[in-house]
Amino acid sequence: MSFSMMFKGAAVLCLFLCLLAVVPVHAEEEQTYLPSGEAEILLVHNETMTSAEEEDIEFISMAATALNKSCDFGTPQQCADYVSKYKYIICYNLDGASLEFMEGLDTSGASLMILGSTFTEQYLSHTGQKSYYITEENQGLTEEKQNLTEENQKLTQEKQTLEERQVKGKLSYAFSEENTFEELVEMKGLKAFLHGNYSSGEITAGNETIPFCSQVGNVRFIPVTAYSGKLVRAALMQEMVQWMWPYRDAPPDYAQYFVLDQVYPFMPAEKLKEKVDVLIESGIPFAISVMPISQNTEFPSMKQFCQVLSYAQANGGAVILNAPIIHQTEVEIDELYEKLTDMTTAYTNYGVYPLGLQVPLSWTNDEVYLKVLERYKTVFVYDDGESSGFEIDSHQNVLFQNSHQLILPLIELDHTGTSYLKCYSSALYFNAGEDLEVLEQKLRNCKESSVPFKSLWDMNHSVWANDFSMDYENHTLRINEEERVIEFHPEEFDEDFEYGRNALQRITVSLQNQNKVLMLLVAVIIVLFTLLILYARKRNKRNFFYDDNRE
Amino acid sequence: MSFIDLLSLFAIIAIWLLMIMNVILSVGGFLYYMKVGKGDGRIPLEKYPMVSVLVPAHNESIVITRTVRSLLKFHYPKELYEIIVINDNSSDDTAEKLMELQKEFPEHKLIVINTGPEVGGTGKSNALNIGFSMSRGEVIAIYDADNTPEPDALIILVENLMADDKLGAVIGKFRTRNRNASLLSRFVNIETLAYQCMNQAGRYFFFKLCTIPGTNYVIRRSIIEEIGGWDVKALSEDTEISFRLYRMGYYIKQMPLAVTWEQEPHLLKVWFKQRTRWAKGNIYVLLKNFRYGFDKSAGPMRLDVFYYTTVYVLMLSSLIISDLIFFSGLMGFIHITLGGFSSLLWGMAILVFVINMMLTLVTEKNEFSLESAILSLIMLFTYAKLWVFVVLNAIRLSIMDQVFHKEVTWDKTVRYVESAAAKDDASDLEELLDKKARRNKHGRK
Repeated sequence: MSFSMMFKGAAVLCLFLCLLAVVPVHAEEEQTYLPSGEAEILLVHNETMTSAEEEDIEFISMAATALNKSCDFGTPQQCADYVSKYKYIICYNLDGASLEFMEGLDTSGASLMILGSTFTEQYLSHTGQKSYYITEENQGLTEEKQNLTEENQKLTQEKQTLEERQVKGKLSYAFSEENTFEELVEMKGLKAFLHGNYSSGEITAGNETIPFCSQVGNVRFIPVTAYSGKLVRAALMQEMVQWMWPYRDAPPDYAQYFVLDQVYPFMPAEKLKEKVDVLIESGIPFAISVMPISQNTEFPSMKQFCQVLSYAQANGGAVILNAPIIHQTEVEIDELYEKLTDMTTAYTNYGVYPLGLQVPLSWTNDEVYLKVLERYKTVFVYDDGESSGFEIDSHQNVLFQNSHQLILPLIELDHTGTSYLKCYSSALYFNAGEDLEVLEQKLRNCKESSVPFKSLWDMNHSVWANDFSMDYENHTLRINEEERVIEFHPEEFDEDFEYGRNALQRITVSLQNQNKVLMLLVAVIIVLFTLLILYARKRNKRNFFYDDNRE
Repeated sequence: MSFIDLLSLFAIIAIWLLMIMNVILSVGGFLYYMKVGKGDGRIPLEKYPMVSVLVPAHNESIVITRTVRSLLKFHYPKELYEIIVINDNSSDDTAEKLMELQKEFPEHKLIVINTGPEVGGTGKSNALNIGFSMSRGEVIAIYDADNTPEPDALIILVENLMADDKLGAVIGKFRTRNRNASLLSRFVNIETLAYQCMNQAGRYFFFKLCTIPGTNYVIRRSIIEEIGGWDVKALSEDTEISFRLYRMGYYIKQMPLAVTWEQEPHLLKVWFKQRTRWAKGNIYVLLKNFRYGFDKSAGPMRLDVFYYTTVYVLMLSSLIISDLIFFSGLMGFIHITLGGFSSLLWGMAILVFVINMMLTLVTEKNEFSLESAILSLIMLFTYAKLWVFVVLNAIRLSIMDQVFHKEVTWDKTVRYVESAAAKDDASDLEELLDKKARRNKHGRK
């Protein structure tokens, strides 16, 4: 083989390799997840839904996550084959379902909760439980219905409201004897069924009062069809816990976490310390969510800030890291890993140890961010008011799959923003920019809410980054396998600090971002030059050999 | 960030800036070559001017006969060009060889000026001034004593010059006659094609900017008269005259179809001496003209000031720094904490360097091969490093000249009898010339 032939081969190979490097190769088709019976809860919804209904599905899915349950969701058609594999099934506002699905549901043996009366009626009818309808025929009670309450007897006297219409009623729900709340709720038709020995809460519409949640035959039934209100959401979660709890006694209480939120590294250290002192004094365990920082970390203000955090840590407070605010539409995961590593080490270098990560809701539905979250055992979620990015086609509560210690935002039930819900780990976020008096009032409310508070130092945590790992287990903190002691040593600060000295580091950071640009540039140069070379070779052949042929 | 990090950062930025600059110039050069290659470079004139071909020669006995013979073969009206060889204080038998040629070609205007130590021997600029004073041509052509120009080189250069009044000079391309003489001459060949020809073409393509390479160029007599001849203090008289020409409002054109073949050093010692002289000359010109870099009236010459500054300041410093850091790092003396720069970045730089070279070589016959690619790669780690020492030596000598007020002397490049390998090159060249002649006869496709 001549050199020239060898070169041609090499050139073609190079070009091919370059193209391979530039053009993304999709070796396999993306697999779409469909309910297949592997989760604990199946949430069944209509095929066509309004955006409000989709939001309800998102909420119920998130509620399942909060309750540490895996959840699949889909239409009756999508779930028909696997319906018998789920332990718990929630039918949300279904207008109807195929025979196949109904039969699957009937024979599944799963605990069933139906939200909305339309499908409840269909289900009861299909499964031979028509006797729970409140009709004239039912006035002569059979033996089975001897147990029915007097209240049910009374209901049978009233006219049946069977027409399908939107009805509003007042929900009254109590989380404890002292804490009863009310809220307007929406239902598709006000329909009552004869119910068994379980009922909870009340809904009053006009002269009629029906339970918010009741046991109808083998079904846990809730007539509400819209779950945008705070109380109805809290009530649904409470009922879900109760429904899934297999024992006679009440399910266990979960703690609440008080989080001093939006704490910026360059806020006045004295003001932060004032709030920390109030928190320490209150006796309520607390966490401080610090905003991320990777530059100017050597500034005296950063040192002072970390001193306050270190002081808080030494007095029972914990620190968590707020996720960086990202404006890019497409996020490079390696860049994000690098940033988070820098941001974490920026704090650990000063003896401040962020035990978890606080992320907005949108991170919980994004593939890239979920990948990032895998590095954190403890994850706090907050609602930043932006779109959560929830996709109905995801068909599962993806956040649950990461097996985090999840702490979700609490559901504020009164004007003080206090929650009385104990069925999941919730976070009470308090903006650090608020006045001291507001903080003191909030702490008083928390103490009165009867919800237990828990310190992050009483749980295990782990964080790992590119070349960094932090573990907190059995009250021992280790960074890169090296044990650390939580203590506070007051330090002096450099008064004559030169603020311009970090400019080069900033340049470096910006240059690091150029690496990818350079790679792209090199790829373009190689492709362009290869094309030019091929063109020139072709042209050379024509020019150099032409005369010989003519000769 | 430590001081070492800072230096490393500087080296990386500088190297990539230079690399990108070279890539852009190569693309421009390539496009210009392709554009020019569509024709034969000729622009027939109604009236051809008288041309004086000046050949400064100092102890050029080994090569002068061949050079003069090829000059005599120019496809230019015999009566319209004269060859003036300035035998500048030679101690060898150059004068005898030239006399023999005069006898052999009595029908040609071959003028030989023999100078003694009183007026000659002080450098190329001085020799050119002497030759110029004896010349009659409206156009002056300059060839080094080791050149073998192709027969149509002169006419192409003259026609292009006369076709545009704004043109002060037209330069041709020079190729290495003895590229197979040694590994060094192979490197020189690649370097010549890539950095002296392709970059020139790129600069001309984008900015109408060229630097006279010292040989194979034509310039208007009126310009030489206006600037008062060549600067005898400038060792790199070609660069010096280019700067002066641009300041006068003229521009220089590159015409790559006007080719001359020259003997390049094949021994390291000779090469080192020649390149040190060039570098010293360029440093002189740069210092002398640096102020014009900030003078709007200097026109595109400002870009040339920028170009030479980047080459001599940025490239030199970045190469020295990166090598020092690399070796000190290997020895464990220093440790870089600068993040974000991977070896991939260096690998990419090497890849771009090699493919840039290959783009240059593909424009020439018999230069584009796997062997050349490997040579380019080796060159990066060997020949390019030698350039650093050349420039450092040139700086040292320039400082010493200033401190001790030394007069400028002509460190002449030593010629040698071409070996068997070089003769192969020569026969290749003959074949090429022959083929070109046949092509001209039959016409281009």
